[in-house]
Amino acid sequence: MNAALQAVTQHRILIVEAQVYSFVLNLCLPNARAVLSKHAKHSTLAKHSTHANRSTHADILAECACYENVHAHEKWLIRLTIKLRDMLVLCPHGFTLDSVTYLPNLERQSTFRYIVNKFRNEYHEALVPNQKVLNVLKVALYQWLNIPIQRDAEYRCIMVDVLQQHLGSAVLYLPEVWNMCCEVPSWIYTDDRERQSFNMEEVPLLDFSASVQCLAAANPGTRDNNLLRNLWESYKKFIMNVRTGPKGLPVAIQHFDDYDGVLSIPRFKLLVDFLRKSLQSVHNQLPITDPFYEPLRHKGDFYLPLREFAPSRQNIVSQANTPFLHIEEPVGMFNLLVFRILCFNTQVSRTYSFDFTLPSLLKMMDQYEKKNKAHYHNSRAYGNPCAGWDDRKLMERYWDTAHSAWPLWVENKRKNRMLNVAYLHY
Amino acid sequence: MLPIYTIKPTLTPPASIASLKKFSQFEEWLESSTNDADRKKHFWLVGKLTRLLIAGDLAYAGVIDKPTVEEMGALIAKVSKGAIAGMVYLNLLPGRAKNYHYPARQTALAFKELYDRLKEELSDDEWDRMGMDAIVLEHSLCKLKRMHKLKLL
Repeated sequence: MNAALQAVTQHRILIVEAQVYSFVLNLCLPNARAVLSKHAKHSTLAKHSTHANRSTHADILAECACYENVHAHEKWLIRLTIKLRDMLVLCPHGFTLDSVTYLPNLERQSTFRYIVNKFRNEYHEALVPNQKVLNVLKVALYQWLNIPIQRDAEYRCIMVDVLQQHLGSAVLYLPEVWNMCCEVPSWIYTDDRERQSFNMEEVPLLDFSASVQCLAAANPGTRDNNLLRNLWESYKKFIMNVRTGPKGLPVAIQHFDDYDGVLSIPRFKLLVDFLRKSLQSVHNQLPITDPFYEPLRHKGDFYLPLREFAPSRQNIVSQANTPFLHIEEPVGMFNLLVFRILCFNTQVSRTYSFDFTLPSLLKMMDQYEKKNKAHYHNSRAYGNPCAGWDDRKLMERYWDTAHSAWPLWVENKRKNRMLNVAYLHY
Repeated sequence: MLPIYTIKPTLTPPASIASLKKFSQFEEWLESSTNDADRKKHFWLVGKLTRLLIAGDLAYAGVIDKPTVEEMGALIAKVSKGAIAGMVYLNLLPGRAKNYHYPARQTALAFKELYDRLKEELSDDEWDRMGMDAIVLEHSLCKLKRMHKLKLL
């Protein structure tokens, strides 16, 4: 059962991927052509952008060098264009851009599978940084198609046929489609790179109504009434689903119980690499020029994954009179509280000896309060409880705690240990 | 005062006896002494993460037991902070809204899986030099996401 399900899922993924790449082909190329033509005076590619000559690596580099003043996303489009064009040339089916969209479904799938593999094998590196673009395009594709994947063949052919028949190749140059593609680069460079799903409202809407009205006006009493009706229905579904996302599409995570989390191996490797590099940095084996070293060296408390090697922890553990030697005594607990609650991730936590009593702590606070409170108090560390409160009063409270609740707990633990011994002997 | 051996406890020791030294039990005790509307609790205003840090320090000091991997996994779900983000980043848990409470059991299982995989991947020497255990792994997961935000991972 599971194997069958997996096979179906795998098949569906392939189809989705194929659609995404189809979408890339359809949308990026015209947009890239526009970019190229904008900078036509510098470009040799602009004049020959549809020519079926395979570019060499040197050609690509030379071409990109022409675009010093071009935005990064435009450069990416140019590179993608060149690569896509090369792929089209290399593809054994010998199809052209226009024929890709209108190939019969089965043949299209095999062709797309070829493209997907080609991408994976040859252009994997080029695609990795732009995975987000593909995700965006996928969302846009769903919206554009506005149809469940299972019914892709039926609806997509209808829409494509209708649009092709009445608008011809101009389909690819619809202003809405054009605008959507232009919006993509602004999403590439958002800070929140890890956002898993996209806000559907952010995806520019495609105004199919204008296209349909245009069709209706151009073809009164057309024999394609059925097709037009279907298009309208698709459009209505699109509007209906625009907030919730298209219904019927496979949702990545349906329910937590159903979530079969598989460890992401590339990211796991990153974690292992991170730990190893951190270990090297602890032993000063990492070259200082490595940018990876910087946060670990300057903000170890915040970035170093090895807890015991964090600067503040190293400081408190290595002291001759470390509070951990007498942690079960009130003073020991008080100093632990001061360390973790008041002073964590500050200069004091990295340099001071933690053998404070309440008076000596208040004295230290007095000393720095007017000059630089940040010396002993980092209000951003772990939602520091002192932030916004009178930290003196809080420290007085913790002093009491260390002398009341803590000894009680320690006493209980001792009693329990004795009881445990008695129980075992009994 | 009666000598110890004359004390006759029940056949099953009270839960408090067996679990007082347990890591999660201690964390619960801290939690129960943490927040109070009347501001009368002992560890008033101490947050979830700080509780975990204090418990970790005490575990290393030998005052309480070190947590088991499953125990720490359940605590990660309870705290629901950076370590959860790290596990989502590693695709072990599904991404959810900020205030979503991840189920303790699934989180513990995922954490155990990660722990086991890491143990396989790292050599014994590396493992020892890192001082790796459930506490350190939880700590590392928090940092993983931070480094990722810096685009260094």
